[in-house]
Amino acid sequence: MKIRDLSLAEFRARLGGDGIRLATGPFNCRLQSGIPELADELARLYAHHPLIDDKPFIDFHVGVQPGHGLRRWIAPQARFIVDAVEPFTPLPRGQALPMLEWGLNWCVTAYCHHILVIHAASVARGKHAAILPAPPGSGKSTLCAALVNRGWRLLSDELTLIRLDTGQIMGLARPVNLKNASIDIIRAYAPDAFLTRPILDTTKGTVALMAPTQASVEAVGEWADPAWMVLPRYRAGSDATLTPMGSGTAFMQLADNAMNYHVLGARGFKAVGDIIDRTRNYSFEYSRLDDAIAVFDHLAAEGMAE
Amino acid sequence: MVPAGIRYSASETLFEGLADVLWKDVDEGWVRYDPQAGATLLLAPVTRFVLDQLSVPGRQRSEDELIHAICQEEPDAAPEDCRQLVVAALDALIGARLIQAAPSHSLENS
Amino acid sequence: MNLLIEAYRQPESIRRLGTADWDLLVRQARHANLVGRLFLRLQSAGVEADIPEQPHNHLLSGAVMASEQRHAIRREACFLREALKPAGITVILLKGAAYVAAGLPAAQGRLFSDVDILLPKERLGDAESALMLKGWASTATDDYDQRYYRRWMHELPAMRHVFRGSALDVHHTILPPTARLKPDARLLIEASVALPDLPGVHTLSLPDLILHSASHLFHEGEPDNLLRDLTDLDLLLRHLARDDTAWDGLLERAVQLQLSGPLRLALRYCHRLLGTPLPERIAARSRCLADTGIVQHMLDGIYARVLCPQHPSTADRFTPLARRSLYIRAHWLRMPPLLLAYHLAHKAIFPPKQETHPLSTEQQG
Repeated sequence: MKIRDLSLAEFRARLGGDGIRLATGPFNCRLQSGIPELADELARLYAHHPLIDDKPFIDFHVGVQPGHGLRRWIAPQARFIVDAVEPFTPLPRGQALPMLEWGLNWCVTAYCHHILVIHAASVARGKHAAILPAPPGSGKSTLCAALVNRGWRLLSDELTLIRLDTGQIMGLARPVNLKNASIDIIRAYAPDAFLTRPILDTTKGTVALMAPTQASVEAVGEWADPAWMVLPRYRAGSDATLTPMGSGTAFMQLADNAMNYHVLGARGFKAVGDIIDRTRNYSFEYSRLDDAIAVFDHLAAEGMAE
Repeated sequence: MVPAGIRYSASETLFEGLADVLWKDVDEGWVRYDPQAGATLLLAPVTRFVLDQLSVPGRQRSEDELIHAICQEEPDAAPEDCRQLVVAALDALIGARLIQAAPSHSLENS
Repeated sequence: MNLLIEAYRQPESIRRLGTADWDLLVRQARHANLVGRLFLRLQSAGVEADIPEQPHNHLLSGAVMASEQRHAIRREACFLREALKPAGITVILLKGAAYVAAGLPAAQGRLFSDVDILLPKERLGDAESALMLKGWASTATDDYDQRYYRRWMHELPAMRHVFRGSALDVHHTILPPTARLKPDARLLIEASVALPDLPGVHTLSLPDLILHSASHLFHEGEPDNLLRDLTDLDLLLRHLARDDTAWDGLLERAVQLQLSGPLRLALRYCHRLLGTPLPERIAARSRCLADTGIVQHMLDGIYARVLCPQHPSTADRFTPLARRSLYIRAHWLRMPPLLLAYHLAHKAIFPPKQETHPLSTEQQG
């Protein structure tokens, strides 16, 4: 059974009560909220995710709740809670929905040192995946959202998970976080995709969440093999250009962007080394999305031909 | 400007964790991971060469001696190129706290 | 229902756990900061294969985090050596940093956030200068805290390194000067032990580490980590117990340092809650298992509630009162009553700053 099989009333009731139990890739999550206005968009963002009522083990017990005391009504706040712990300072109530997403990301970075967690987007064609590490200003999320709406499946927008035993990427297929100008760009580029209302004045500017495609969610159990590491950089007016990157530079880029590289110690060193051994490594400059997609499609075609 | 008397040697901590250091071959040279220091470095071949030259307890080498050693390894290389590479390598290794500089009149010895 | 203590005492019991039990166990362990230690306990008891995949990931994650710390703490010890050597001060590590640097079983599976060192009282000023020269800075924020720490507590205000962000506590005694018990720091320093693989770095001797842990445990006002600290003691005692004669030395040392009381309590709770093996003659000599009347009974009640993981699943209706009583008792042991009232009043007016992070998914620099 999927989230979309619940009526909105049922979804709301569970969300405000014992919680919605769903799977995001390898993680079982229980979501609770005493902020009813986020139910509608939340249900749409996770429409295709499976309910897991038959699975009692939950990896992340999370919730977004109203502020304490007066802050429930005056300059109302939202708080993110994971199993009775609040790792963040409260945010304005209007940001409750992205706060839930940021909180779920936090859980992965805090509790998952059995795998390598890279701050990068990842998308796949079939079994072959591209990892896009994400320095600010790279336009990673826009590029990711575009790819996902042109035949690539979403593994993750923000945190790429690498198994230490096989080196495969485990997808999360959670919503994509879009900022500022890219919101309108993606609305135009993918009119059928579901985007939430824009949320203003966050620390990242204006933010909207885009639902993952149904195909991405349904294929999330198929782990992918890293085939390409592409460091994107948006530069207005440029042509889409791939430049091969030395494996040493690629190593340092990946290690730099790996959230728990240092925690993993020698295991992290080996995991990153294994990735760059398998991947073709590039830096990538682009401006027009269609050109960028064409480059990626070409990479995929090359990959199939081998 | 480097005074002629400067000699370089391995830093004290280099040897403490040496047995655990991991290397990986990459296009530009090697990636060196030191679990004790928690440091990951990308080393070009010349830099590794200089590090290897100094990774002997008690050994000191001046810039000139290192350049000479490089030129012997690479007879076809231009001496000025070697000088520039060695200077860059020493800079990088000092920054990474793997080696240190000591004036040659100093009584310090590892 | 205390799955955590049960799993820790009897690792084979995890075979009987259902999926929902595992969910609760992981959460209890996380609240007690014992995720990694539990994993290692189960692993060394040979039952790792009985841990289902998802809980296994969480437990392993905790252990991985703890194991990398070994390097971080050794690095800090080296930096400290570098900073204090010019002042002729020996680095003597205490508590978690000592366990890690010495490779003791008590180091395993647990995260230690601060490095603690001990030095002679008269060298405190020199040490502070030498440390500041090498990049450590004081974290005491207001004048009250500065006075509180320097005058009444046993340490300089906590220090933090400006670049590395590592935390350091400098002690000249192991209990505050205002406490009723007064163990002699000079005896501790004299008995300190050099680390064979970290020249110039010492730790307290094993009996002294045990006594320090015991005295700290039952003088602490904050209950959150008591269970975890008790597991430290359990591991230290088991390590000591490899040499059966060392027990007698421990009791004698406790007398010498005036810490027989805390040791008695520590032995009592380690044995009763965690099953720490205790030779009969030691139990008899220390009278740690004897029931000594109403006060002891009340204390047992308080500690039994507080030594459980601080998780809603293990609380009962007495717990809030128990927690408050513990806070008051601990501060009574540490400070004369007049000071205590002043201190508590001050803390109520200026609530302690919360440990929270600014929300950001940007990579930390």
